[in-house]
Amino acid sequence: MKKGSANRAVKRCTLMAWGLILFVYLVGCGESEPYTFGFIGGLSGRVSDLGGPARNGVLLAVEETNRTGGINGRRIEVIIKDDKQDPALARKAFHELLEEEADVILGPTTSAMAMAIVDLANQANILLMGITISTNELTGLDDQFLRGLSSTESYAAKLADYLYYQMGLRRFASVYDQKNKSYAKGWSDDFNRRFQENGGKRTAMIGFASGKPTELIGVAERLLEDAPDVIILATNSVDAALLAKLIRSRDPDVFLATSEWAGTERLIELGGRHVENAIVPQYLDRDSQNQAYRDFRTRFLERFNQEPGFPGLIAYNMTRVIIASLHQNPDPRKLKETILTQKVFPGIQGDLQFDPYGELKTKTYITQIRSGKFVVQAAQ
Amino acid sequence: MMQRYRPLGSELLRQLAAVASIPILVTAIFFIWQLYPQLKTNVANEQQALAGIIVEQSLQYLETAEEQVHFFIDFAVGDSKKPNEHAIEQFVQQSAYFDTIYLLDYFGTIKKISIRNANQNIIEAVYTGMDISRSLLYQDPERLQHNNWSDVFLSVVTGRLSIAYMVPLEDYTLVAELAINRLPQLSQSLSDRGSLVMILDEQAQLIAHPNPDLSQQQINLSNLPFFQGPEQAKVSSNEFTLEGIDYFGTAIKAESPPWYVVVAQDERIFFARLYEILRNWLISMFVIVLLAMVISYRRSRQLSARFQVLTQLARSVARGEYDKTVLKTDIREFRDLSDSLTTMADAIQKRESILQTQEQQLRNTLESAPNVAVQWYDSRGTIGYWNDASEQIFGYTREEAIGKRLNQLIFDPQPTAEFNTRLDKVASHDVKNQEFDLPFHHKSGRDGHIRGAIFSIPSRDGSDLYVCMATDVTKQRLAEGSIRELNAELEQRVDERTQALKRTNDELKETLETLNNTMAQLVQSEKLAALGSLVAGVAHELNTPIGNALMAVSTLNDFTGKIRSDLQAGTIRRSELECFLDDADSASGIANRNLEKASELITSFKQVAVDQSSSQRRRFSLADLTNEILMTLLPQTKKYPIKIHESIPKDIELDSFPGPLGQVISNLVLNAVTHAFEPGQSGTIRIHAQRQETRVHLTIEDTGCGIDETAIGKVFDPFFTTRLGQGGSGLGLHIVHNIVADVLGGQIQVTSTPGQGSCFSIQIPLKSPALDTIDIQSQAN
Repeated sequence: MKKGSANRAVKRCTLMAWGLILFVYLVGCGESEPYTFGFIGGLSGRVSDLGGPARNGVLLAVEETNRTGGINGRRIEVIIKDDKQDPALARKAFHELLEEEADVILGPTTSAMAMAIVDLANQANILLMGITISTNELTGLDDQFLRGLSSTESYAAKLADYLYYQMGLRRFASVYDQKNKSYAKGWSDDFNRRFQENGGKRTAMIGFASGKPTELIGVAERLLEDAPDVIILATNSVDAALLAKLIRSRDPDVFLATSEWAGTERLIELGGRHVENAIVPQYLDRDSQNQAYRDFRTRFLERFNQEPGFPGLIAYNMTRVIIASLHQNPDPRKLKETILTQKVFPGIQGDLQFDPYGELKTKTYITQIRSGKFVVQAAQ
Repeated sequence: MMQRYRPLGSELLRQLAAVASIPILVTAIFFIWQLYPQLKTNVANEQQALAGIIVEQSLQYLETAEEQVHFFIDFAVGDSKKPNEHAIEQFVQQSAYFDTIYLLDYFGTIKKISIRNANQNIIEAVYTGMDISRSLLYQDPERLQHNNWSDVFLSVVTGRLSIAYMVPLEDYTLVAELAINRLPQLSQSLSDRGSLVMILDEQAQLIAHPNPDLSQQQINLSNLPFFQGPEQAKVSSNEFTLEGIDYFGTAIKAESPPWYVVVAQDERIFFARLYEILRNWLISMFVIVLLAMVISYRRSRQLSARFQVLTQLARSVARGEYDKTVLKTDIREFRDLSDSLTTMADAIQKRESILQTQEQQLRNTLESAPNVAVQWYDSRGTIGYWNDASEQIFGYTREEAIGKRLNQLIFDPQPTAEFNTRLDKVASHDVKNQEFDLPFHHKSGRDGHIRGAIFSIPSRDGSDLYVCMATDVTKQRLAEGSIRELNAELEQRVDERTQALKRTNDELKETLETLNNTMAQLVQSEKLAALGSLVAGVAHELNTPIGNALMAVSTLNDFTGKIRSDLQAGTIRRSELECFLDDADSASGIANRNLEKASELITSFKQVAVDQSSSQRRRFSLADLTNEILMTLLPQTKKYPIKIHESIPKDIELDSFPGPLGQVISNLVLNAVTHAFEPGQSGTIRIHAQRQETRVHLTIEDTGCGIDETAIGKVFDPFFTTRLGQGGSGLGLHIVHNIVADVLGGQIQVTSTPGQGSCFSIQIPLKSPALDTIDIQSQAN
């Protein structure tokens, strides 16, 4: 009798032990499948001042979400691809992300790259959430491309009005980066049209290919040829800084203005005193006293030792939009519907409102560089 | 519930599996708790060593670069404080390390620049004059004061992430930029061996990574666990995820430049090692268990075969075949079991024969038990056995009875039902046995009565067999009948007697009541008698003084008449008148004294009479009371030659009932006078009192004949008297006792020495606890 019960106890213990092992194994493997967010952006070279903070904005939003338990318990993984501002590389990165079963792709960060992959995204029926893309060429399309900015037209017009009416400038020369023609040329055209409509006169319009500094001397000289009041730079920040130096060393009095593209920290770092007083429109209110923005900036600085700038802010906001939508409907294939149905999402500097084509209406803030800082002059 | 039986083989296998799982578990736990951390530590140590080497190599690389710069400065600058322009150009073109070199003035403006593989003129035109005072490179001007390596920054000149070596000269700062894509090659070459090697700057920005693309992306890895927490350790090991891959890595911090080198291993590779160990361990465990199972299976087959032989042996024993097959085995236990089975077979054989004998004996006993009818029944009541006594008692032979039921033979339906009920009870094991007492019909038709019990015994086939043992109690039943009749008669007689006793009792009660009444009357008459004698005594007592006074007054009257006639006759003489006056004086003095005495007597009498009749409570002197009582008793006592000594202190005062107390004293004194002394015998009665705190102790003793020992216990009982028929009522002392105990709240005792006298001693409280007025009559009763 006693022997029998002891025997049974041993058996029970053994069974329990095996059960425990099985349980631990199952629990260990029981985590739900994570979401995969792809990111494509220009992370190296002269446009990396857009791609870098944008990537970091995505990472910050994802890291914060993962720390608080993910999306309904599902973690988010991010796969990052560098397009190096090369359309072929962007397409390659897109295909790689599809193979790696990305649920959504954030990016790219320049219009030229967006033009290269939007068709692919429509074919693959995967949501492409553009970060710092404002080309007119993708405006008003019901496609798989959504973005955190509206078209260049609205922004360029605002700068043109400011320069014409507020600053009283009449003659302008403009230069754009042919490597990001979709944005830069479009923006320059929009500016051109508006400024001329206002009554201004264009003295020159020059396109150049970024990455060849030797060409820049000639560009600078041609821009100054007809003695414009203001030179409009639709270039990246590095080129803008170099051009500013070349222009100002020839004519210290000419006004400089840039598109939003160059409005990153790097413009000031590299331009130094040559970009002082330049007019730079911004997609974000850098002087915002908004507590949410200040907290965000602090977290961003702590994490990446870098200013978020507008790319970081927009990327963060867009990532949050996607996370919020997945909270509502966990199926990533329904993301577009979810976002366009809800339309309004909370953002760091106020609500984000998508139009029916998935574009955000955002303000632009005209700033002037003073003592190495962007100082807001007007918000429109 | 059906018990499922497993074969020995599978049971042994099962147990083996259970036993084997314990060491497997233990080693698994050991593996998880000991081996796994140990392996991790080993990997961390390896990584640390590797990181150390890389730091060493990187430093060496940078040191060589530094040396080049210093060599260039020594050579090109010399004492002129400003480098030779041509020398700068040449240096860059020839340097294996630096991509560009330039001079910054005090304001952070590029004054002189040279880039490798570029047209010097155009470069100068583009870059000279650039203000990089706001660049990251320039952010800490302090650092420009010493020879120093910068953090990673994006070179405005090359457009690549670079680090710069800065040397302050007299008026300028020389900056030599080194593209960090040279470092990734180092890291890549090291990463081929299954390790990931990364170099990060002080801000945790990625400088070198096996993937050169990543190195150019300014990735900040401050989220890695190495850089969390307030203070970064010089060396730390951690798990982390990068690019979707889980790593286990070790970070080590270099001194100058203050970079981190991270050496990490893909956890899949790390775990692959672990899995390999685990797999080998599992395989070996599996092989061992398999081997053990095969062996145990074979072994169990052999054991099984032996058990088969033994089982056969046991079965043949069960069948009653006792041929002694012996198992051939070299295992002691089997040998023992086989021997035991053989021994058991022998023992069973022996026991069987004993049992047979015993059964025969038992059967004989049953058969020949003369007056006990024994039958066996099955559960339906069918007779299976019928002994000789049954034949005699019921008249049916064994052959007639067996196979039938009792209702077919001896029972009417009613007894049959009862019998069957009892049988069922026994059958259902509710009770062990059931007794019965039932009428039956003898085969001859004669009625009879049996008494017996039913109980169950196991039958051969395992079911129950019911035994009924009964005796014929017909005669006893008849005897019982007559006894029952006798009993009924007896009861009636007892009833009658009880009635008679009750009547007697009632009569006795009545008598007792009459007696009590009589006693009360007697007490009353006793009191009246006492009062009568008191009155007689007082009257007698008064007689003398009043007689004397009367005589004196009548004498005086005579004298007065004689004087008056002499006076009228004129024959009176002076001497005669004087003589008359003397006589008158004397006569009136006599009359006066005697009347005073009478008055005194009357006063005493009055007091006593009032006390005794009214029983009022009041304060009084014990001495005065006693004297008054004695005075009233004087007429009765002075007939006897007995002296009464009274010695009571004058100061004893009681707040009590003088009447009853007086009756007590008077009864005791008269009792002594009348009973203690023979007629004519002289003696003394002493009355004494003594105060004892709140009580008074009163003794009345005599020197008389005393009281017999037999009588002394009864003196206070009512109607006890030694002078029955001589006038004694036997209530005197009884009344005394009642008054002392109930009215005065005291005790009375009597002691006596026959021939020498008796002593009544009374203890009463100075203040009576009783009410103010008491019905003495009832108390006396």
